[in-house]
Amino acid sequence: MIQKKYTFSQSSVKLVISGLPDYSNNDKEDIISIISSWKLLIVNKPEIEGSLDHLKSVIKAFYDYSYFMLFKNDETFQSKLIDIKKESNGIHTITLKSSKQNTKPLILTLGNAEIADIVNCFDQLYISKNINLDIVGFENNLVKNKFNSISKKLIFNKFIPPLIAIFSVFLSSVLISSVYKLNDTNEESISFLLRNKTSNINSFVITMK
Amino acid sequence: METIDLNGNQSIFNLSNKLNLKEVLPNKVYIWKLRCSNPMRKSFTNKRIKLKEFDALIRITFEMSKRLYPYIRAILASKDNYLTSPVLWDEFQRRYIALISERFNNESIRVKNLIEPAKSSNFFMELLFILALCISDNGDLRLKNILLSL
Repeated sequence: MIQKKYTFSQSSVKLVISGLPDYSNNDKEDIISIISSWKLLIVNKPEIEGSLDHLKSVIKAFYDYSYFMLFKNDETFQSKLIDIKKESNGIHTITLKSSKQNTKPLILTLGNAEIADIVNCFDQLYISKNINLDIVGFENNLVKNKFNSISKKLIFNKFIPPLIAIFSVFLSSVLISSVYKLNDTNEESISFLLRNKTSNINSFVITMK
Repeated sequence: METIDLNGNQSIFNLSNKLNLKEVLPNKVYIWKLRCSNPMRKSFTNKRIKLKEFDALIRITFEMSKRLYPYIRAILASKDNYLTSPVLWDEFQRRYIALISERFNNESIRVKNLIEPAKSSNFFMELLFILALCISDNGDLRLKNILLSL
C-alpha cells in the first residue's frame, strides 16, 4: 500500500503530512485519514515532528497563541507539550516538551513573520479536503465565536453608560426636588414669622378676641 | 494597504470591479466617501457605512492582503530582525506616518500618538500581523471577526 504525502507551504514554513486512506470508511485513494507521520520545517530551524497528538497540540497552541497576541495583553501560552512566550524584544520563544523522559525540551525563537507563516500553513491543512484530521474548532477563536468578547464590550460600551446616565438624572432630580421642598418650608415659616412680627394689628385683633 | 501598494487607490478600485462589487462600490469617489467615514480624518463626513459596504471593504482588504503577503511578510521580518535589516520597516513606518499626517486630523490625541514612531510601532506591527493572518480561503471571515472584536 503506497503512502500518500501532502505538503502545505507558506514562505519559510513547510508542513508535510504522510498517511493512508481509511478504506474501512470508504475513503477515496487521494484522502489521508490515518496520519502516520508529520513534519514541520522552518527555514534555519530544527525539524519538528511527532505523533498525531503532538500535531494537534502544536496546531491548537499556535491558533490560541495568535488569539492571545491579538486580543489579550498576556502573551503566553502554556500546555503539557508546548509553551509559547513573547519576549520583550518582540520575538517568540517556543518550548517543545518531549513526552519521553530524560529528553531536553527543544527551544526555538521565531519572529512574527514565521508565526504568520505557520498559522497560514495550518489554515491550509484545516481547509484541505484531502486530509481528515479531527481539528474542528481549533481556530474558533480566530474565526467563529467572538461573541464572548463582543458581548462584554456591548455591556460596557452600550449598556453601562446609559444606565449611569439614567441613574445620575434620577439622583439629581431627587436632590433638586428635596432642596426645593426645603426652600418651600423655609419661606412658609419666614412668612409666618414676618406676619407675626410686622402685623401687630392682626395679633392685637387676635388677642382681642 | 496604500502604505505598501503605492498605487493602492487604483488597486482597490480595480479589485472591486474584479470581485463584482460594482453595485456596492460604483466608483472611486464613492470609495473615497466611505473612507471619509473615519472620524480621525480631516475630511470626516458623518456617513454611516452599510453592512454590504462593510462586507465589500473587508473582501477587498482580504484580497489585497493575499496579494501583498510577500511584502507584508518582508516588513514583519524586517521588524523581527531590526538590528540587522531595519530598512524595510523604517521605510514602511515613515510612509505610514506621512500618509496619516497628510490625511488625518493632527489635533487629535489619537492621531498625535499615531504619528509618534516610538508610540505607534507596536500598533503598526499588530495591523500587519492581522493582515498576515487573513490570507487563507476564509481569511475574509477571520478579518471581519477580528475587526468586530477589537
